[in-house]
Amino acid sequence: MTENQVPSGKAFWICAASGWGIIIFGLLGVFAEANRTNPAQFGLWFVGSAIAHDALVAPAAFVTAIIVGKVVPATVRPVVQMGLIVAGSVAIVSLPFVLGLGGQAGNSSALPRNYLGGLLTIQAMVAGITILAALRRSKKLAQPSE
Amino acid sequence: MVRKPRQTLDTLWARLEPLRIGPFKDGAFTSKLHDEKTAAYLGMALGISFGVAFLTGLLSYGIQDPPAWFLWPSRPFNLYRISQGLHVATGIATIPLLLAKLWTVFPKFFTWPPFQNPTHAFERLSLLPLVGGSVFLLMSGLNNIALWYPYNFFFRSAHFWASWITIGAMIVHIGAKASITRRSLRRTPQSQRQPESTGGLTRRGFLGAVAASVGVVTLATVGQTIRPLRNLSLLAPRNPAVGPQGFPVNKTARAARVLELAVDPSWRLRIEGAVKTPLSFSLGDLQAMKQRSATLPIACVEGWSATVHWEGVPLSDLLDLAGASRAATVSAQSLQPKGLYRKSELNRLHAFDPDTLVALRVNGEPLHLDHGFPARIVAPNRPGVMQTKWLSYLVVE
Repeated sequence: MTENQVPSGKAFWICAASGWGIIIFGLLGVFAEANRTNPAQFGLWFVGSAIAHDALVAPAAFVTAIIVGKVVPATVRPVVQMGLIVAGSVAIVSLPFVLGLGGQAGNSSALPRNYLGGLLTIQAMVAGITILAALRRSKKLAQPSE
Repeated sequence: MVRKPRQTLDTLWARLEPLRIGPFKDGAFTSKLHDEKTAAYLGMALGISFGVAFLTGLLSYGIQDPPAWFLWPSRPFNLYRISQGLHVATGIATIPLLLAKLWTVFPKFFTWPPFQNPTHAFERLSLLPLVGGSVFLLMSGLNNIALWYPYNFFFRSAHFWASWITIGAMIVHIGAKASITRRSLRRTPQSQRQPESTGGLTRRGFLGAVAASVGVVTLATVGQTIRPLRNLSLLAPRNPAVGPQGFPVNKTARAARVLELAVDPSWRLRIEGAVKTPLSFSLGDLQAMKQRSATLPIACVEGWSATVHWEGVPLSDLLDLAGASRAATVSAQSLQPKGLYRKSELNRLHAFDPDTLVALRVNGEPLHLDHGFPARIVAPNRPGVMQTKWLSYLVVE
């Protein structure tokens, strides 16, 4: 690690002071509205969100990348990686809808669609485009350069 | 001899050196995409998207819980629809951006030594509210539009205060990384550029994939407010054309516990408070009055919206009949026995806008019970949760 990654200077300290001022304002708000924010639960989900990302989502992405690196031929790997980034993003956004844990009993206008079908349709399209792009890239790289 | 703190710290890290295993080892992360330039591009995009979401979110909170100095106008009538639609769409679009940024900088989590001096430790500590807050905001916002609440806090308050914590942490982060970002975004001279790798994703490819992800998740959900896209938005939590009388419902009459009260023949709309003549109207009385129609959106805080044709009595006509001051604010109260949204306040601009109605009909039919039968407030440029349904009192203040 290089020394210049340690922040310094007047601008940093102005941002640090004002930023932490706002953070403390937010924390005070959490406790001032404790009957609505439930600080213990809030803290659990707040810290838990960071841990869930670092302990689950990020390692899953790295494991996927390692598998792709070993299984997918180098020529088409970038295309497959791009497809997986799009597919993974869509899957994460769709989770609360596909799992069907939300909605409202007796309200047919809340979550009115077949979300699993929607997710599979989008993933099939992403997969189709990825395969086409991979075939095109393989063909292009197989051609002798002039 | 007294040892300097820096020496003590160096000694500590040297002693802990054997514990450097797995991701803590040098070279554990091989991708060239964990670089400053990629992080800088994504950081800039996140700064914009979180900035937009923060400002539009702040506006929504201000409208729902206005400070004394804030007077939200009733025109342009679509402004809240646009700002809240933008808030939710931006939040969804931020999910791939944030995941990509966190992936890019993930190796820094295992930086060795963990900190070099107190300033460095302070800067790294400030990352907890940044990462925790960012993920918390997007997670809770996404759950909210799915009406999924796996926690015991009130979403609106938790989301509001978490947004301040996150924005504060973002300002600290910007201060810490501004010079690195500036340096990273300078164009690299052609002679110093490294040849592109053929075995993996290039920076351009990675950022292109992230941009494509943003586009796909936006297109998959934004049809909940942009009606022509509703059939393309396969993951949108609402379809603006689906629901009783052709548009969605946020809270049903059953959920609000007004099933019997709303159809009681003795129902009356009462106007009280700072008026010359307190008044009471039956549904027949209201139907017999001069009606006005208005095409106004119902724009929900969850980001969906639908344009609807309303008919009813202008609220200003009722207030004038009761002898209310033109500077008055009005508290519209529901039959709903409890709940934070059982009443809403109309400021003077909304109360006396000619298109603000005590609506009795929608899309050519009497209001469906789930849309607020026998009467509801409909005003231009207001959140749906403030368009009070199952109206029972108008209290002039």
